[in-house]
Amino acid sequence: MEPRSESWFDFPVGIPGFEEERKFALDGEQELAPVLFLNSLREDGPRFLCLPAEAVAKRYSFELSEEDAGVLGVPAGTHWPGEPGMLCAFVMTVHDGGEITANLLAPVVLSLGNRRGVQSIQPAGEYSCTHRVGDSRQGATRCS
Amino acid sequence: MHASGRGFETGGNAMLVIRRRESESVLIGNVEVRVLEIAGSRVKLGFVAEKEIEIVRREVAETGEANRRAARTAVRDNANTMSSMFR
Repeated sequence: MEPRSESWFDFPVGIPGFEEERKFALDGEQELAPVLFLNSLREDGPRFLCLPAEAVAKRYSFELSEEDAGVLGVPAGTHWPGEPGMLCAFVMTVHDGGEITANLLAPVVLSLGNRRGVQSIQPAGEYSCTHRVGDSRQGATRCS
Repeated sequence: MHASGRGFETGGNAMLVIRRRESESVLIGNVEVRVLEIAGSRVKLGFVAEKEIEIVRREVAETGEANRRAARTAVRDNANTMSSMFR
């Protein structure tokens, strides 16, 4: 599926593990909602399955460092999913055996204002990069 | 690990514990780790090392590995499963 140009976002420093990937598109398909695809625009680049933060963890908040906030053009400090002008999504992983986890340690945060994005690493100990999802969509656990 | 200081075992690795003040440093092989600033619960560290040596925060390394694993599982079947769970 060819991404629409309005779904492109610049990632000035890429994302951890894929630092060379500087442009991603976030798209969804109606029949797969609420799943979103974060696709590198580079041919043969990586693709990720994501879910909106609100769908995974209620009461989730995240800290934007001065550096990340500068990229996004928003104030540094505490933010919440659903804030106007921003999108917050978690990268999802399906493990052997079918367990599904969300990376709450490093939410993908997109600014609709300047069309830029970051994967914002949260302070150590706050959240897990393998937060189990499935039958419990309660509040975000702060874990290992 | 050969070092001077008070240490204890954690898992299969040894942990060395050393107290340092601002502007003091330790050496890990050829890498110097210098305490630049201590403010409240945060410590600012400086690393003096050859450019080829990669130094990253642990959370960044963990997220890099998590991203590589996630990219390998980003297939349509998994999207379908996830969609049915959250729809």
